[in-house]
Amino acid sequence: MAKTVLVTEDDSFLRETIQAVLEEHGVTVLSAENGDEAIQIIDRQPVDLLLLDIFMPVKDGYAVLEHRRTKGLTFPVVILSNASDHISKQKCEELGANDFLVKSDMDEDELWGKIAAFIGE
Amino acid sequence: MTLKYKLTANLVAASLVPVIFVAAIAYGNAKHSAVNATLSNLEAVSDATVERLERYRRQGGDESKLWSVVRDNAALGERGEILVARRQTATALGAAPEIEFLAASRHEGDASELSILAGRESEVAIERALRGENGRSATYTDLAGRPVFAVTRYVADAGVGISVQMPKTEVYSSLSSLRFALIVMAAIVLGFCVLMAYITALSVAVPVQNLTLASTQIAGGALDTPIEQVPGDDEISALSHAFSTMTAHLRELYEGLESKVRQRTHQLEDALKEVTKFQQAVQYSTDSVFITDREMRIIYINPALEKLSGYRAWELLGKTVDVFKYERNDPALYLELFAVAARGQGVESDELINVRKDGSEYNAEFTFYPIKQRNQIQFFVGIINDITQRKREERAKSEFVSLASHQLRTPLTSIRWGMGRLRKTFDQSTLSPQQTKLFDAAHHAAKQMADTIGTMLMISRLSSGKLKLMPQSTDVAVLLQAMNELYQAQCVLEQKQMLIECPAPCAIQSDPALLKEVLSNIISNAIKYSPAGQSVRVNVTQHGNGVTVAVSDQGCGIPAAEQGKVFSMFFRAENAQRMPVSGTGLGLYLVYSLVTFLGGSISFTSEENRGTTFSIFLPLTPPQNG
Repeated sequence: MAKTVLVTEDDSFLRETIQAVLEEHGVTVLSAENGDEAIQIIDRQPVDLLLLDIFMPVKDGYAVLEHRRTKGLTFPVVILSNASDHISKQKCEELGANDFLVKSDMDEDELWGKIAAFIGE
Repeated sequence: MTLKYKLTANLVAASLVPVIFVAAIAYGNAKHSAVNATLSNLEAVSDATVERLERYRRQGGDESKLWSVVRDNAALGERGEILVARRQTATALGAAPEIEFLAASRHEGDASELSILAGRESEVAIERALRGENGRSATYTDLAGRPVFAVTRYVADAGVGISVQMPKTEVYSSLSSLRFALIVMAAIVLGFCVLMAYITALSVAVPVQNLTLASTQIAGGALDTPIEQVPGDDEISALSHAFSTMTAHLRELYEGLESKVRQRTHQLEDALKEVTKFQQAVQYSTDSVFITDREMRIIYINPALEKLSGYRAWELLGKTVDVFKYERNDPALYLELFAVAARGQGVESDELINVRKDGSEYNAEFTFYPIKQRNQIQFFVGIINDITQRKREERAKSEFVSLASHQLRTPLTSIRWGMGRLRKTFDQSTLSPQQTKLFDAAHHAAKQMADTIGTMLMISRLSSGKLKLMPQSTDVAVLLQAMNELYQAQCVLEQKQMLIECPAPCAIQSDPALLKEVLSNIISNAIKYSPAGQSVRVNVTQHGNGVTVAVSDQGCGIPAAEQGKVFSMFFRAENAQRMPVSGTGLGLYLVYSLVTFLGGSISFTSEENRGTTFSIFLPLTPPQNG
């Protein structure tokens, strides 16, 4: 069974690139461009992994994390953000995040290597 | 009373007694002699008279002419006389026999007219003679009752009494001139004695008085008072000599002291001038300065500090430095600062927030250091500067850097990923070397930018103090292993080797992420500047108090002339710049800052074209305030 990964990123190019890379590895990708959309998706259907940006319009990543916790959902979450200094890693961990990656510090094909373990690949 | 008069009086009294004594004795003697002479004289006359009487009677003279025996009146002075008398037989019954005078009294008239009352015992001399008393007497009187010196004889067979007598007054009057002479002489002698006494007294008292006066003046401070030298060789002159000498010595001493005091005063004045310079320097400084005693109690506040703190000096004097503490700061920081200072070292902090009297806060740069004398702390000096503006600017800069960096990262990601994806759209086999190069260049540049942004962010966080060191167990061996894996691909690509020698495990208390940053930078540099085919060695040594990580390469080295600037921002040595390797010059600056933050130290040795070895020492446990 193909794994489902929800990519939540407000920058369209980056979002599409992530999607392309994941799909090349045989993953089903759902995408959301803000926290609100992400919440709607995770409410609607199960996902195997959430790749989550923090600073987004409408609702930010924190809101998504809180919603996930409130709902008692258990899928792994990896924060993908460039605003490392403005985000409290501790806060993210407390809200249930499993890892924190800086997008600009990796090549796009390195992304797979960093998140594959979370979907058992 | 002055000595003069005391001495004179004493001497006069002393001489008065013998003089009077002698005069009295002389007079007494004279009187005694005069009386004796008189009595002897009287005796002689009476003997002569008696002899004549007896001869007359023997010759059968007429008894009515007995008066002729009385002849020597001339020998009896002026008032002396010879009385010859016979007791009459009692005439009437019970009546006392009267005395019959046979010769006329020299002074009292005819014999027949003389009569005295006989009967009762009296002291009249002739009467006593008639009683039969023979001898001298000084107690009888004459007929008128006046005291006389008398020699009485009783010629028994004739029944005649004879009294040769002389009034005492006459005897004594001859003495009166002697008495007068004696008195005059005594007075003269006394006068002479008084004079001598006075002269003697003067000879003692005057020098003593002068000495007393002079020494009183000297005692009063007039050391220039001259002391009269008393001529002679007695004690008084010795005393005046001694006094003179003493005064001269005193004067010398005093002058010596005076000049010493003058000298010392000049020295002190000069020193004070010097000190005043420095005191004024502090007084008028725009830095806020305070000084405390060795117990850290405030003893001085300069006006700038009054202005800054809002307190007047008197409000702070005597209070300890605790008065500057503010609850918004970590109490542990104060403890640390003052403990270190108390141990004899200066401390500095620019992380404190202070509060003024009116409650307003400001960022403070605080310097506190001890002043030692003879290796013992005597004072502390504290300097406070308001760096609120600077901090604001730093914060703004830091915020800007942070914000800008994050903003830059997103488009950078797009470039990096875009280039990657673009390259993959090409069939790898159809790419020309030129195209590959273009892709590589752009991609590599993007990667570099990402690294630079990361470094800048970390430097910014370090310098803004946002980083807090939370030491945790860090295994250096594990970190180096991760390095190995991280740079594996690059090493293979560039034909370089990384050799790691590290004891395992190698645990210290540190921050793994920051330490990773440090090692990554150094190792990456080593690999970057190593020529192909060469290796980078990493050696870890354990010590009692920490570990040393040595990273050696055989690259181009750092020219000696530029070795001093290695850790400064944006530094890239000339020879490195010439290499086809890129670098920002930020890496080593970051490494230095991080190593210091972690409580360690970094050094290097390098020789141009031979290679470089960086040595990083990390403590087992980093110090408290990182």
